[in-house]
Amino acid sequence: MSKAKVWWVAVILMATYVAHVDFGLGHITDRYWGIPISLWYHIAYCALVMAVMAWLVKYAWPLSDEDES
Amino acid sequence: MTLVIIAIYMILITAVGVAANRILSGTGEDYFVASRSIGSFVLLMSLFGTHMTAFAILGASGEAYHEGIGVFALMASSSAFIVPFIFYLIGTRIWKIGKDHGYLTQVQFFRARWQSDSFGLALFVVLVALMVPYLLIGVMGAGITFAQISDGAVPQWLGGLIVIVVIAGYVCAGGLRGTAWVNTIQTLVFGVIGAVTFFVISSRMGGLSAVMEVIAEKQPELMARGSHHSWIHVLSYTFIPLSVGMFPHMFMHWLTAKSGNAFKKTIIYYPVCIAVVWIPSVLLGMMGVIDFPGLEGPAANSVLVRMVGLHAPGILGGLLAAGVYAAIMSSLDSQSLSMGTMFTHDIVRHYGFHDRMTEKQQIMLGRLFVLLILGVTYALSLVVNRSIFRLGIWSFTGFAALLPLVVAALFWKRSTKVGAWACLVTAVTGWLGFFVVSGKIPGYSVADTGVMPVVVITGASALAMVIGSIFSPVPASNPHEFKREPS
Repeated sequence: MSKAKVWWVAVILMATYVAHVDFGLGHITDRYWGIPISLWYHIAYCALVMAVMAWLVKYAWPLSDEDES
Repeated sequence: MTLVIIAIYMILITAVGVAANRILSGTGEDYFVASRSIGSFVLLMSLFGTHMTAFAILGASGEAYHEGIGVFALMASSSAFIVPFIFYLIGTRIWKIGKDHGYLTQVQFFRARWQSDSFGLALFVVLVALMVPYLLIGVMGAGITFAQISDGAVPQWLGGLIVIVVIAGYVCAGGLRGTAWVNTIQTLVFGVIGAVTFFVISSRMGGLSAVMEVIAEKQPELMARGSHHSWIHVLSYTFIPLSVGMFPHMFMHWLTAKSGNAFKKTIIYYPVCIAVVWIPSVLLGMMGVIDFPGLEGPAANSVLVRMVGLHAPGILGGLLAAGVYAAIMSSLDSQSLSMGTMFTHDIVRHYGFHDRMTEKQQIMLGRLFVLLILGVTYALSLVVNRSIFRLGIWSFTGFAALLPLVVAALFWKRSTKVGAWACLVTAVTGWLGFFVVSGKIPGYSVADTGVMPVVVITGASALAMVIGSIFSPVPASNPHEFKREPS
């Protein structure tokens, strides 16, 4: 995994964030199980970030075995 | 009964600090970075516990009381991405360099990187100055919690004092090993009890759906981000979590890791940890408008504690208050210790006072500096009456504006000490300028555009780093060169 790919992942994640902050859902007062929809949207974003972080850790870890020793 | 439970909790965590002291090896490295022996679970708990402060518990609920659900978007969503990414990109590299060079503080790292004593000294002063308002929100939060939970029997000044005494006790006794252990316990306590608080209060108010129906009828604007926060305002808040990359206490906790692999769980699970704390805080703050309508300005800092006192008195109330204290103290301790560590290493040892002192005397001097900083913070807490959320934002703005320093130090070989000085001076002057201009204007944004000052100051300090470096001689070498490509 090259550094460039790691940066691309960061840029894509950031772009997703930029896209979701004003997606219109911020203006809706509907709720699921009491929780406002706009909050669900942010919770889903947290889950997405977690998956991406797991991917980065598995495939683009910045330290080598030599660094660990 | 509530106060008895809180007292038992305080005694318990002090005992953990003292127990850590008994296995302390007596060396500075053990006191200051726990002999770089912290495993993945304690690292996650201590980093997260250190990061979550009165800002996330009392500040977020107080702000949500006024502004509604959008407060989650302002901080939690962006933190969920940016904070673990900073651990991944910066924290792991700092750990490696710190291990190779034996660094214990941020100042040691930067001083060596650009080979400048004067820059290291200036950075020390700036970091301590920025840390005081950050400590202040913790002490204010502790005082507010005691005053509310005891119905005024323990006044705010006494509540803040009690927490400072407890923290000084276990930080001085146990060093970073004790602090990491206590933080782990405290993070578990406030995570579990926070969830219990949320379910107990919402069920006693008739269930979450019913409560939200009431809010939607009374103040529908709280249920959506709506016109409270423009998209550019929300996006500019993305810069605030960048502060994590320059917090001295986070830097110190990175260095405690037993291995680079210990960071992996922290990086993966951090987003969910943030959601677990912020969702109850924000929702409980909104629910406060039903039971405690009409709170003005900083009075909303106490809305969460008021809810606990109203809906969960007695034993449960004591446990819930202990959870609030756990969140507050798990940050105050690491922040205090990082100040002591920097003072011992970057002033006492670096400037030669160590020739006349034993290692134990140097550690003692570090402890005295911790007491001095806590004393100053406590004195300020007696006179400052501002929103915890907004006070925190100002502190984070200063640290975020310094982020270009660590990014350039790690990733830009061409960066120079002239560039670093330009960055530091720009960050400080920008921060002071905006603070004076906007400090007392609620909801201030740059030229009313919605853009937060942190964007302008951080952009300017990054630009200053680039310009200063380009127009100064290329450094002969980079002592921290990170040669290996990622595996």
